[in-house]
Amino acid sequence: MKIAVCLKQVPDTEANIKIASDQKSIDESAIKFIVNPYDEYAIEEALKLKESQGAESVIAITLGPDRAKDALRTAVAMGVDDVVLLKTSANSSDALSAAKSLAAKIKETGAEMILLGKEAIDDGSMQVGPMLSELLNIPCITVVTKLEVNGSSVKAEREIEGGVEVLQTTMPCIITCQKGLNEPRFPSIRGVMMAKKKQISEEAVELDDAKLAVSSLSYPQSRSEGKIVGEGTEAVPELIRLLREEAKVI
Amino acid sequence: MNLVGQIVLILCILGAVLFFAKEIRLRYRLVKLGAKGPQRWDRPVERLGYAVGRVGAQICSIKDRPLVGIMHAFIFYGFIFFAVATINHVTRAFAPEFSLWGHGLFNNLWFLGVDIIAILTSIGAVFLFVRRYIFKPEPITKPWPFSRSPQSAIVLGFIFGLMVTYLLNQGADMILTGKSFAAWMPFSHAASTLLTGMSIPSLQIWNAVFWWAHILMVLGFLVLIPHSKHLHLIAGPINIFFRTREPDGTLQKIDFENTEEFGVTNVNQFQWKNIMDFFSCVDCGRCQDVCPAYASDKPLSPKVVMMSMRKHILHEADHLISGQDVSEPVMDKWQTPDEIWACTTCGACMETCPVKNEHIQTIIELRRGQMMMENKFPQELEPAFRGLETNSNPWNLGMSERATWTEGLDVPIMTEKGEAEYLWFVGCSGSFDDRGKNISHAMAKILNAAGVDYAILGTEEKCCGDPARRAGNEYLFQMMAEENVATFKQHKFKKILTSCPHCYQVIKNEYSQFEGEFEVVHHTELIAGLLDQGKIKLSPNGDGKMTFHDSCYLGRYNDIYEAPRKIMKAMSNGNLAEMVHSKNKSFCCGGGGARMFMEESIGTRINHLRVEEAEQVGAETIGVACPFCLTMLDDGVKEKGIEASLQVKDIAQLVAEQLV
Ligand code: SF4
Ligand code: SF4
Repeated sequence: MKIAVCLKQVPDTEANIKIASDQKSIDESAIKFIVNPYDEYAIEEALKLKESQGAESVIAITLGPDRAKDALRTAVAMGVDDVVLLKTSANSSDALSAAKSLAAKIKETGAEMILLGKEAIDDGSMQVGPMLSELLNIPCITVVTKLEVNGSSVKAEREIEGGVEVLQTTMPCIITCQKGLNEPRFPSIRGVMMAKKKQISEEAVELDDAKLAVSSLSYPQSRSEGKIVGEGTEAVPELIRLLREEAKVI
Repeated sequence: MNLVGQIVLILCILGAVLFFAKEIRLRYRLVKLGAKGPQRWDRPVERLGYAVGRVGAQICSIKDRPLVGIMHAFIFYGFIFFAVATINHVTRAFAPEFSLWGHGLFNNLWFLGVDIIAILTSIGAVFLFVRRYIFKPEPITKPWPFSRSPQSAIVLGFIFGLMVTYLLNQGADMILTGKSFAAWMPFSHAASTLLTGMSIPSLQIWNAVFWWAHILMVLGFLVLIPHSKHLHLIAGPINIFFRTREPDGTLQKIDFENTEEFGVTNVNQFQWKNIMDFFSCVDCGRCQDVCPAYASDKPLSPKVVMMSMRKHILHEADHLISGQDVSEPVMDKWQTPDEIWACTTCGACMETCPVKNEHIQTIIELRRGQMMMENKFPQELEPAFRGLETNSNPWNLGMSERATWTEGLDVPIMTEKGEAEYLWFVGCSGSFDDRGKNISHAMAKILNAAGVDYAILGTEEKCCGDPARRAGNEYLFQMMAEENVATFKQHKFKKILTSCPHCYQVIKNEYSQFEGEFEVVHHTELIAGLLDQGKIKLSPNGDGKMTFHDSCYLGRYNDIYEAPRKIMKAMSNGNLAEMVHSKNKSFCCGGGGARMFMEESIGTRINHLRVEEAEQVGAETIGVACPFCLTMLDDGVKEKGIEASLQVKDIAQLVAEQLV
C-alpha cells in the first residue's frame, strides 16, 4: 500500500496579515509560512498507518510556489519518505484546477490511501478533498476524528452535529483530517537535518483552466472596544438595558 | 628483619602496587576513550598554580565547610607527610638505621612534624567518622544506596590505625633501642609509656606487629583507592588542573557538520572531561546540599549524577576497552528523565564542588541526547520549540509583534536610527511577556531620562536561543545564534545592552562560538553607572525593607553582584537585607535551564522556597534583575497569597518609579 498526503503551505497562525497593494493578495514579505495545521494531522496519520499497516511508503504532495518546499521539508523531517512539489507560477484560489493537478499526480503514484487536512486555514474552502474524490472516482470521508484501517477496509468516525457518525468503506479512498485525530509528532532534529539536505523534486504545473479568481480582499471590521458600565449590583440595570437595546442579545 | 620477612614484604608491596597500577590504568584508559573535547592545556602554568594553591592550601575543602574542611586538611597533610614517612618505614626493614634526612637537626624536626601530624590526622579521622556514622548529615548519607557505603568506615579506620600503629611502633622502638627522643617525638614518647613494663621479647613481638600492621594498612589503602571515592586523591587535583576557564555553565558547541552523534545517549559518548569528573567526585554532597531541585524534592541530585555515571562507566568498562558497543543506554536505568529535566542550570553545584566538576555540561549532554537523538523531551517544551522555529520566541507569538510594546513610547529602532552606542537587546520576555514588558517600559523611561544613545532591533531581533540550548535543542539554538550574530554585524553600535541575564550570558560568552565577539552590558551595570555619573537621580519613596535576589546567570555565571546591590542600596535608604542564600550562594528562582517552559509537577516549588527566604528577612520588596526571576518569584508570592505584603519587581521598575 502506498499512502499519499496532500498538504498546503499557509501563513503562520500568528502572522500579521497585510493586504498587498493589488488588493487581491496578501503581502508575503514579513510572513512566516507553516504547514497547514490540519495537514499535519494527515501527515501524522499517514506515518502511523505506515507503521501499523506496514505501508510501502508515504509521499507528500504539495502545490504551490517555490517557498512551499519548506513545508515539504517539514514533512520529510516528520518521517515522510518522498515528496514532490507541483510548482505553480502564480497564486490561485481555484480549488478545482488545484485538485486536478493533485489528482493527476496521485494517480501516478498509485496511492490507495489519500490523506489531507479537512481544510486549509488560509482560504478555508474545504473543497479539495471532495473534488479529488470526484476526479479519482473513489470515496471520500471528510472531517475524520478517528480512523481504523484493516487490510483494505476502512472505518472512520466523524463528528456531526450532536453526535458521532461511523462510516465504512474500502481503499482506495480519501480521508480529510480533523483535529483530534492524533497528536502530530514533533520532527526530530535528525529528521530536520536530513530534510535540509533532501533533494526536492518539482514539476511545473499550469493552472490555466482556473474558473475562480479573487476580485478583492479586505480586512474584517475591527472589533469595537469593550465598555465598563460600572461596578457591583448597581451596574446591573444599565448592563441589561445595553444588552437589550444596543447589543440586542436578550 | 629476616630474609623471609623481607621477601614477604617485597611481595606484598609488589602485589599492591601492581594492583593499584592496573586499576588506575583502567580508569585512565576509560578517560582517554571518552569523546574528544577541549583539551584544556591552555595556560598550563596558571592552571598548575591554581590547582596547587587550591589543593595545597585546602581551599577546595575548607571554603564551604570550614570545620569539616580543616579536619580534612589535617588528613590531607597527614597523607603528604606519611607518603614520605612510609619510605623511612619500609627501608627500616632492610637498613634499620637509615633515615631519608640523615641524623641531623632536620631529621629531628621532621620527626617532630610527623609526630604532631599523626595526632592531628587521628583527630581528623575520628571527627569525620563520628560525623558520618553518628550524626549522619544528609549530604553524605543520602540518598541511599549511593552513600553510606562501608568504604569510608574502612578508610577512616585505616587512617586512624596508621597513626596509632606509627606512634606505637615508634614508642616501642624508643624503649628497645634505648634512644629517647622525648623532646622531638612527644607523642611517640607518650605512646611508649603505654608499653613500659613489658618484657623485651614480647615488646619485640609487639613492635613487629605494629610495624607490619602499619605497612599492611598503607598497602590496603593503596588497593582501596582506585575503587572508591578516595580516587579523588589522584583524580581531584588533576581535575582541578583541567577545570573550565569559561564562566561556569557556559555550554560547549556541537559541530553539526562533523558529527553524527549529538549529545549523550550511551556512556561512551561523554567527553573525556565528563568522565574525569565522574572519577573525581568525592561523594561529599556539597552539590546536593545547594541544589534547588534536590531541595524541592525533585529526583535530581548532582552528586548522584556523578556517582551513577561513574558506576555505569565502570560497569561498561570491559565493553568499552575491547571496543564493543555498550550493553545498555544511560537512560532510563542510570539516569531518569525526571532527573535530567529537573535541573535549572543554576550552577550552584559547580560553584561549590571541591574538585570543580562540571555537572551542567553532563546534564545538558544527556538532555541533548534525549532531545536530538531520541526525540524525547517534556511535552511542554514542544510549543516553545515550535515558537522559536516559527516566530523566534518561545511563546509562539507573532514575530511581527515583537516591537509593539514600544507603542506610545519613544524607543528608537536601529534600522531607522542608523547608529547607536548601545544596541538594546530587549529579549523575548521584554518584548512579549506582560511582566517582562513592564521591565522594558521602565528601562525605556530610564534610558530616555538619562539621555543614553541607544536603539533596539525591533522585528529584526530573535530569541537569543538560551531556552533551546538549555533544553538540549542545540540545533535550534545554533540557528538563532547565527541569525542574531549576522543581524548584529549589520549594525553600528559599541555595546549590547540586555535586560535579561540569559541573553547576557549567551551573547557575551556563547556567541563567540559563532564568531560573534561583543561587549555586553546588563541593565544593572548600566543603571549603576548612570547613578554614579549623576545622569539619573532617585528619590527613595517609602521605607519598606528590600532584598535583592541574585539571578544565577548574572551572579554565579557572570560575577555581577555589586552593581545591583549598589542600586538597591540607593533605592532602599540602606534598608536592604540579604537573604540566607545570596551572592554566589544564591538560590535559583526555578526558571533557568528552560524550566521556565516546563511544568513543575514533582515535589515542592522552588519559587516558594525562595519567596519564603525573602519573608524570613522581613522584606516588603524583592528586587530582581531578570525577567524569569520576576515571573517565577511573582508567581510564588501570588500562589502564597502574600502579594499585599511582598512585591516583586525588577530593579529597572523600581528605579523608574523613583526617578526624579
Ligand atoms: S560532584 Fe563535587 S560537590 Fe558533588 S559530591 Fe562530588 S565532589 Fe562533592
Ligand atoms: S545546576 Fe543547579 S539545579 Fe542543576 S544540578 Fe546543579 S545545583 Fe542542581
